[in-house]
Amino acid sequence: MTRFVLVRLLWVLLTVWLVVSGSFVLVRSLPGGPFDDARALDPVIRANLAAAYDLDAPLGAQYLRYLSRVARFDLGPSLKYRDFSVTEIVAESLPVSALLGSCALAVALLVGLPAGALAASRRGSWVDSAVMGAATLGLALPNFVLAGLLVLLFVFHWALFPVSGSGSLRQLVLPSIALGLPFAAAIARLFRAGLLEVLGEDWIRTARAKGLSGAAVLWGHAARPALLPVVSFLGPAVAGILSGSLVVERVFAIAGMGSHFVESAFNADYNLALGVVMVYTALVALLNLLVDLAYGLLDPRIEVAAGTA
Amino acid sequence: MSRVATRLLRRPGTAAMAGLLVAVVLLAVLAPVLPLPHYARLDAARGGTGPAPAWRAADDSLAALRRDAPAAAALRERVFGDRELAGALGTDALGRDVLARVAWGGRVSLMVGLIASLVSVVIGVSWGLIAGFAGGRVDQLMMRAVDVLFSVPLLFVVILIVAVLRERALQLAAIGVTRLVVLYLVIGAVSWLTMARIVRGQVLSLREREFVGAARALGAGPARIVTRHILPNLWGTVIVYLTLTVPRVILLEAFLSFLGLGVEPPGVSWGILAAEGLEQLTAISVAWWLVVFPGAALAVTLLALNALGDALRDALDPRLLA
Repeated sequence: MTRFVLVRLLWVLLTVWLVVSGSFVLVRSLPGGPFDDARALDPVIRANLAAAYDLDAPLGAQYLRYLSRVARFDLGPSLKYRDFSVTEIVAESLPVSALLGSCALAVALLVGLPAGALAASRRGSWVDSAVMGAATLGLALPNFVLAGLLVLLFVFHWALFPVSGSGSLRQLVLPSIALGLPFAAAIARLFRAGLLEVLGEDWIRTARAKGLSGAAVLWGHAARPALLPVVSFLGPAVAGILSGSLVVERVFAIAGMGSHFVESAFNADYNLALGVVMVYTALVALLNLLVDLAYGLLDPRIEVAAGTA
Repeated sequence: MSRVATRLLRRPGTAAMAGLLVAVVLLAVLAPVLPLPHYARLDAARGGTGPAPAWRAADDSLAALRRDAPAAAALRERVFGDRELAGALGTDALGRDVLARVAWGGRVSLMVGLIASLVSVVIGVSWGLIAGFAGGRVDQLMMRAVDVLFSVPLLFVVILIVAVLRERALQLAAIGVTRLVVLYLVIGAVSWLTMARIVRGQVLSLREREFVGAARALGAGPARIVTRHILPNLWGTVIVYLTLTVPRVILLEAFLSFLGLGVEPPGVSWGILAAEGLEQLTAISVAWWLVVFPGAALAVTLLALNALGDALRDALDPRLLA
């Protein structure tokens, strides 16, 4: 077990290193610099700026210095917000995005699991078809389209929620739904399929024969093994929610990491962009590791072994 | 093939989905010859009106078409005369016709979807084929690379690449690489992973089949075995996953264009239209048609392609039933 976690952590490090190196080369190989504004700078000032932001050394030296700083959790200064370091910006915006992402994941699970269970327990009925039809539609609806519809209905038609911003609970509702609902659809489909497979097993018949109610069989016996496909989907789902938050944060004007990342791409603020890409890569890789560990806990038959990274 | 077609169409809903897809594709392909106003024509007097179809004398859309494509203009004039259908789905704040913009946006979205998917097929099939056929060390190394790439949040990398290439737009344009080409290549370059995995799996099993052994015994070299014996057996799988890749790619393009990093105005794509629609929503004028119609076009296309891909997978290869 320890060995498995260590090997996987090494893979996480390798992935992050590869992404950081690739992005670094991509960004720093540009001929222009971030200070090429319309106004020509005095060459002396230019040279000082380049020195201050470590852009004057040979590429190899810049790279090594960047890596050594990253290893100390120093992501360098932001090139646009000149009074802030990238680490400060990330520290400020990561909790905002994390809160939004957790709420979206909660929406996905709280809507998806009951919907899947409902469809599975009424297999073949109109309830089943309705839930699965809604799920298919939900899978095809991009989150920014969904966000637009939600804003139309719940902000402008019925003025129930504020249109944008972050901080209060009411402001969190619409973005979480827009971000989480497509994943709820996927979870509902997976959970339904998992339940249908499990409900055909002999030991479910035994549980029924003992006189357990339908709900007790479903949630007490069938749910745990049926959750496995859902759990293995959580890895991609978390990655998808993180990327989806790029758009949703923009639609609802939430100052999270996604907004900062898109801004940095527009502003050519490469230090910030590099830092955010790195943080997201590490986050996704670590969450995937957690999901794999949870997988082993849910089904003892699955042996978590080193080398299966 | 006809067996596949009947099996496909027997599935409830699949025929309806296919019909929807054909309708969207026709709208996009025929956009230039349809009697619609020009998609970028400003008309401040009619700005921000809701859906109100009007069959009226063509403004300058026909004249513009005559200049750009005389043959298409002649066709349009012969069929529809000097008239156009204006405002069927409303106009945006600048008076541009929403139906025309959805149709022209569809051209870009579908084109990017198709070409970028083909790019991803070329990369994915080659990668999987080489890994599966070479086997051993090469296979392990190549598939480990795919594993690592799978755990990278590629959307962020794509945005980084697109942002970096924006800075070099002038140099790229000088060698004939436009923004659309950049989109094709970058999106294609990050969408091949699943294809590579699936092709490799198929190749691994095909490689051990008897007809491959027979070909080898007859003296066929690796190149001949791959091109004549393995590739022809892969097409079914490749087509199924191509169908499932296209909607993902269309979504990715819409995502990038929505963020302002994809197609640039005055070009249109569904992602741009969705972004514009949201921008123009204010408490004073709730122009719902700007949000609903581009979103519906995108959703219908994705829904139909997903459904068709799933149906095709089941019809072509029941073994792949997940």
